[in-house]
Amino acid sequence: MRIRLYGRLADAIGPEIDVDPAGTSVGAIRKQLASDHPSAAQALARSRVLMGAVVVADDQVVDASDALEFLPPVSGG
Amino acid sequence: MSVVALLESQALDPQFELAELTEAARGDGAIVTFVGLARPESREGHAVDAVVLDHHPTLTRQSLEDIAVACAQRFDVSHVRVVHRCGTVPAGEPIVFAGATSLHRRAAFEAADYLMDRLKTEAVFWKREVGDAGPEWVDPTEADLADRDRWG
Repeated sequence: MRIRLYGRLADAIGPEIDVDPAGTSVGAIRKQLASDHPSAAQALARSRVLMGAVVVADDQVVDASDALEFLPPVSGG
Repeated sequence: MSVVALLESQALDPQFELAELTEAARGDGAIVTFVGLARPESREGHAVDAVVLDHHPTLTRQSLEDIAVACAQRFDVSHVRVVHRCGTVPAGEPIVFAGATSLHRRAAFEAADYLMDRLKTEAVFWKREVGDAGPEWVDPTEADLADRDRWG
């Protein structure tokens, strides 16, 4: 599945990545990304996750057809 | 009544934006505008060449619209205009224009103040300063948050 990232997360991980969800949850993906990219762990922990246009919780189950967005806290203008 | 909220990827021209607001303001007695510039120095004192504003393809413009509409509903204003840059803004160049018009000056002053307090903390941007110290991510300050919280 495709994940888009913004701000610090795009800087540390990349603006888009593909992961294999294999029946996992948003929380599991958050943990896996933090494990793979320790420098982004703090920003990942504070990020909202959108599926479509909806904010989803960590227990949301995802599959390969879903697209997620990880939004770290905004900077403001 | 009009509310304009624009996300601008190219140069922002404050004089053009003021002219648009002035044209809309016929019948009003006041126009108050604010122009924010990309600062040439970071809070830590490092030289800054440019501010880079990452944005979201839909949520960023929506956040500008939400703030502008809330402003128009809250204050006795006739017109609200917000134009915000995204992308790379060289130091010294305009990054945001916020303006309001009203029959009498107080409402327009308060509206512009409100717009900026919310834009500085809630607009969906991820901002970094690029310069001598390399890229430095910028977050709202405690003062920014306190200013926003004045409005309840």
